[in-house]
Amino acid sequence: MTILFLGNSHVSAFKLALKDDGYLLNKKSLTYCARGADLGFTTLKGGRITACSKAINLSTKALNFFCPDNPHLNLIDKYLESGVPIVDIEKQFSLTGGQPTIELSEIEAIFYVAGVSPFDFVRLECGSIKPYSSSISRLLVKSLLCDDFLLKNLLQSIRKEFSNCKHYFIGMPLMARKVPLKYTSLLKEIVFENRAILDTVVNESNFDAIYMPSEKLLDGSFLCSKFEFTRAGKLESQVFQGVIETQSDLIHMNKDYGRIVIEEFVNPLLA
Amino acid sequence: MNPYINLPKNSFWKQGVVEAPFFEMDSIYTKKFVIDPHAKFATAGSCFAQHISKNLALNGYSVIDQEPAPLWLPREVHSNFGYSLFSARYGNIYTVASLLQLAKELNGLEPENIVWQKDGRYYDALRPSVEPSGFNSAQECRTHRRFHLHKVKELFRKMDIFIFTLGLTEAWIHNDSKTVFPTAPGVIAGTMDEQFSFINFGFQEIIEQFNSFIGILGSLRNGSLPKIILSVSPVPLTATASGKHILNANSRSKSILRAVAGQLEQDNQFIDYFPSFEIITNPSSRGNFFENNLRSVNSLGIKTVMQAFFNQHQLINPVNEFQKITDEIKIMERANLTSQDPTCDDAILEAFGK
Repeated sequence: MTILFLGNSHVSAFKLALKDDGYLLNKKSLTYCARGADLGFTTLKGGRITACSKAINLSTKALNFFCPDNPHLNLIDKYLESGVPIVDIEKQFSLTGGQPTIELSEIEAIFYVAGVSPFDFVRLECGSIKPYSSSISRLLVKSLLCDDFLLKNLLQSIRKEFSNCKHYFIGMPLMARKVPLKYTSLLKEIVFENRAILDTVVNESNFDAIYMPSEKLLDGSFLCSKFEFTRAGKLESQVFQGVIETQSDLIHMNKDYGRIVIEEFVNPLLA
Repeated sequence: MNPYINLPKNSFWKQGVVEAPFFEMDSIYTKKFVIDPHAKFATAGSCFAQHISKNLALNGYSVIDQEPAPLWLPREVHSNFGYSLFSARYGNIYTVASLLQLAKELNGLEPENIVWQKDGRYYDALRPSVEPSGFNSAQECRTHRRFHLHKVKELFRKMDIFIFTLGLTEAWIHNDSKTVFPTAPGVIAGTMDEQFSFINFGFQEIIEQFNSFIGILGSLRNGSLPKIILSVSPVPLTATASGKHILNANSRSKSILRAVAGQLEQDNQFIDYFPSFEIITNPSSRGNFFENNLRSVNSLGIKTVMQAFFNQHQLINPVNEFQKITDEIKIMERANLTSQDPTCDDAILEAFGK
């Protein structure tokens, strides 16, 4: 059996971790990516994830949740107006995973590596932090990981056709940046309580498990990724996607990041 | 010659009320001070204040939202969680006693008995409706309250104009600590027992409470006070625990609050009174500003109130300028008119009437 890492540019951290340290996983793995929210233009056909001409769940909210950092200023508008992916899906799949479509018959689990994590409070609140009660957390999970998840329909179709296949949400990394607010003891308390409460309600989503980024990846605030994981992250991602490298950014993490997530989250689930 | 000869028409009941169109009460209010178009407003009070808050924002005024909803939270559920109603997430502040208590908390007071339970969940007894399902633990409830207080302190420091709508004189207190609650124990959460008592504040008490509030506000702002606009909620009491007939209790409550507002306005240059109460309860409107429940103010009433306000304080956003009120009457005649109900904790009491 095989596992699949499916997502956007952030899949590269996993691809490269597995390439260099193949022993990390006791399973065969596939890594497929389509940039931005291009995966919104895929569907399940003949037991394969294939490109489709018309996206089904394309809303501003779903797009913003899936690729919030918007490398091109008008990316969301472009998707909504043009109704087409940035780059041909089959080409992207061929480049990143080796095949123009993804055969699912042998897949026992899919790890989704795209979209805002429910634990990414800075992105969710554009830099401010507020306390989430359990009711609010439930609404967040319902929106982010159910109703407004870009691949909601694809996921449901796969569940229907491949009922043994598990679905796990990793999401995109929390941005590596200086904490964008005065981090008082009260805010620290709120962040810890938010994480604890969310952890109790994430099982109400469409996924079989949700990854909560750990202290190994996050800085002391638990709001941002450590800077060290950004080193070469973008380069690796761009090589993976066949894009010319420019410079590192604060969004894409490197293979060290991928290795930690595999050790902390992926392997225990597959054990 | 007598002192009534040269008075304006609106000094006389016949011309000012009987013969005046009830939906054009523009002369009822003359502003006491000019509001800077860039002034930052804060709103609080009973549920009627929500209408004022919303309409100020709609008309281009800068109404502070110091505790905004999570960005991803659908607009339609904001009010369920106390978001987007007032300038902070304090829910309805019905009494001046509650307003004063809130200000004292900003100064370090820690009111007792403020976490109430129901069905294993924990509620902030000072704003029980902002988390309709309560919190997981008392500690979580307190953390949320600390965050709220932090935000209210920021709000009180930055506001230029404070609009407060006085709602009730009746409240419930914890006997030992004197903590004041906006709802009775047992209504939303908690349990009524001998620890709690009903209280019906009087004129002098409320005046003193408001003056104490002003004192704390000044200390939070290094002595500088905001301009304050007071109004009295025209929404009648849902229920009374005074033992009196609801009409008597309502008259007592509104009369005292109206007198308090008038006294404070008379005593302080920085306090103005805006007569939304008079506009809505004007006998010549013959109840046309109320919904069928004779409590909730309908959209015609709200527009008439806000028209009187904006007749004195300029509209900033002309795009949203009000339609002629007469158009509204036609609409009202054609339709079973309902305004968007504000969120009122006390409305739940209606369910207890047999």
